[in-house]
Amino acid sequence: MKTHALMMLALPFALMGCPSDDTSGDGSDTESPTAGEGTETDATETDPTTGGSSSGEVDLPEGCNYFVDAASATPQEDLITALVDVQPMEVVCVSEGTFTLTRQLTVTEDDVTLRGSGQDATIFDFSGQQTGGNGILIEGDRNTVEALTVVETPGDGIRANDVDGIIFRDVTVGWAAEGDPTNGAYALYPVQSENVVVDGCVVYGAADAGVYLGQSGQSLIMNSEAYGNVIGIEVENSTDVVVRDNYTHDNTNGILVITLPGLDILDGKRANVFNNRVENNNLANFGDAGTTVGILPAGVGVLLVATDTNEVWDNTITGNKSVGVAVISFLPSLFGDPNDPEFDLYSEGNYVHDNEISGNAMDPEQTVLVLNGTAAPGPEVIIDGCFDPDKDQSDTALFNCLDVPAEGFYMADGCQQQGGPNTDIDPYTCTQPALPTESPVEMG
Amino acid sequence: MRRQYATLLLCTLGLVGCSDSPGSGADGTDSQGPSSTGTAGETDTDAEPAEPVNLDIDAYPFETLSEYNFFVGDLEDLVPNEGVIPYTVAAPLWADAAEKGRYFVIPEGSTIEFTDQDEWVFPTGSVFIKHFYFDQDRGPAEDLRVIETRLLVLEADGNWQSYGYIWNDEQTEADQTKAGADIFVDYVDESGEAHSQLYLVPDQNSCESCHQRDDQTLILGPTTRQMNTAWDIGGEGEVNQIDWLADHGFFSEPVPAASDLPALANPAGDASLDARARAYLHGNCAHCHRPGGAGGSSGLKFAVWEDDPADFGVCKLPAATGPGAGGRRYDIWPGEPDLSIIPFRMASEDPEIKMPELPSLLADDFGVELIEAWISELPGDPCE
Repeated sequence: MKTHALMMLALPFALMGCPSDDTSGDGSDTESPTAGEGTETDATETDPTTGGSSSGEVDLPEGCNYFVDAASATPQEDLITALVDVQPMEVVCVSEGTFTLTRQLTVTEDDVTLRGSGQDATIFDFSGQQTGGNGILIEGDRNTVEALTVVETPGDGIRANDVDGIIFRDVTVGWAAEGDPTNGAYALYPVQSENVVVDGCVVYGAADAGVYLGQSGQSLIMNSEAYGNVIGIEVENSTDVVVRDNYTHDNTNGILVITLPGLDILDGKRANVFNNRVENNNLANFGDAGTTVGILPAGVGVLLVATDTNEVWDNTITGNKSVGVAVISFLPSLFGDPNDPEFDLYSEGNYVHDNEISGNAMDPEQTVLVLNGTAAPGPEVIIDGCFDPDKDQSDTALFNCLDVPAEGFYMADGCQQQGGPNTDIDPYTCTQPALPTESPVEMG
Repeated sequence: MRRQYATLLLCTLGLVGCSDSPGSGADGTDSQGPSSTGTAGETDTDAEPAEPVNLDIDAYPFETLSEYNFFVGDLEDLVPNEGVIPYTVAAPLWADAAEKGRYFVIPEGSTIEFTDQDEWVFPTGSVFIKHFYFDQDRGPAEDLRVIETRLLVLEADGNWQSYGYIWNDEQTEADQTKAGADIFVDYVDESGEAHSQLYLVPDQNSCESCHQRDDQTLILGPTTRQMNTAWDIGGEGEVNQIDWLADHGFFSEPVPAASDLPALANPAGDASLDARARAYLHGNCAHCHRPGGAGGSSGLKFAVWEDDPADFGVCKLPAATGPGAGGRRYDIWPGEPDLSIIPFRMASEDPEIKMPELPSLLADDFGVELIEAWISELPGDPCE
């Protein structure tokens, strides 16, 4: 195991001193990291203890199988090579400092840890990235990314695609430019995955969502901070997700639970959203106008769209200028025609209770004004009142239950099924079974 | 010298008709076939006796390309060894204008399991070999430079393991790369103007970005639709590749005549606009955009057999697109390429927007024009 680290450290020295390195020609038309590629194995496998290194013995940090140093002559090449070489149950450790990266990093192995030297100490700077839709792409199962920062990816920050098990712990992903539509869409982007953990992360500046959990199941998003994004935390077409103890502030919308049409995983339900602070999410929307989130009004605390059986409780929701909590359908007048016969556009069976909802809706944006038809200050809690006419309306499982102050409640009659808007909360005074609060994640 | 080399390379890449049979193996075409590996050089009077291809995959990867003995003689001549079969595909993936030379080899005595829809099932130990090369003189002369060679090796667990090799400037050897490389390709265009193009050799892990589906690493080219095309696969002139492989005993069971099998159109050929566009989307997009693929989460399905227009994007709202939408609301708006997301992303060279994501840097102008023309002609009601 130790030889890996020595290899990394020795590499730049080994290359310089390697007389048999005749593979890179004059090097005139070849940029790093080409030079000498392929010779590292020679240098290290034949004599791993010396490897031509003049740096002497360097201890591998505790718990690390590889150590990549930002001070290396070829940090990107070292990092990518470590991610190619790493085997299950091994740990790639990364030094403090800034890594200037031009390529997407891809983790294909299972049960691997990529560990920085501190959330604010190890910086992966992708501002010069040439290729790849993500900074880091995770394709293996049960991997961990921790204690590092990813900044300025042209596309998404870290994507986990179709994995079973991924932990993001103490990871920061962001873009410095405020409200810039050319920022990447998603900071943390697990999709079509199971057993996702986001813990202690910070996401900022995303032109779509800071944390975006898409088409996924049994996942946990906690102890994280999202600010300066269009959506702070988005749970989309996902089931059995716990969103707790997060701080979402100064985004366009704080927390969005939504089901979108046209996807293979067309169901979204049972997000348990509790003990979050959702504050001052009033940032002007800078999302792409072609996207669903790009048309959302600023100033929304918690928004539920076309999603079922979610629970929103024990949150502090304040200072969001358009509305504190809204439960609506995928209203074609707002979102466009879903063009998907399989799609259920209604929100049903949701339960909002025991939140502190105050000081919202002081200056609603036009979209919300159209919905609520009232002048500022608007209602703090809005439901569109839409129901599926093909379902049995006496089925209590379909009831949206809103245990919120009667003052500041508004039923918008968004589907013209209710004879017009009203402020009568009685039809929504009910309860739904509480969702489990423990982590749904099972790491195989 | 350079010119002679270029001609040799052209021959072996099957680009021009040559008296030397392209890809005919050191012994000539008669000895090709699944049971012929290892007999190279016995009857060849012009060349040094060749070592057989090394298919001991447990010893893979070798540090240099030459160690595999996929090619005989000087490596730069790219003369395939016994049993190393050149082939082409009907609708190739754009790779920043790189041209490709494709070969495969299967273990002696083994055969390929044929399927007409998905990837053919190859025997463990099969190897696919693909060169990526450029013509450094786009005028009448040719000056070919091979940049990289990629291998896909079928391991016992059913996964195709990738290895990459970067050629040296002298074109005498290629060394294994794990991290990939940034390489500048210098060339002169048809008017003699000099250019330098950045070309990215991908790192080993990024192979899975295209080749992984449902947690399996797959081979993409050898499907019936891609292989069902005429080419000089055997050095005897243009023949249908599937027929040729069947005739030479490569398949485990008899297969239908190629003319009875589905085929992809040549996107640059003379088939209908719809057939050419769907073939292009299949070859360039469907490896990710299909259920289980890396782009499966988009809900887009570009395989040529998908026949519900909503599945290949017609009036489909985008998901997780972000700035990739370019302010456009639908993946395809029939008749309106300027309102459609797909050509916008194909035409972009911004890593955040461009499709495909990896590994190319440059838009394929041909493909963009083809898809725009197709959308212009696509029937259907306005999306709104």
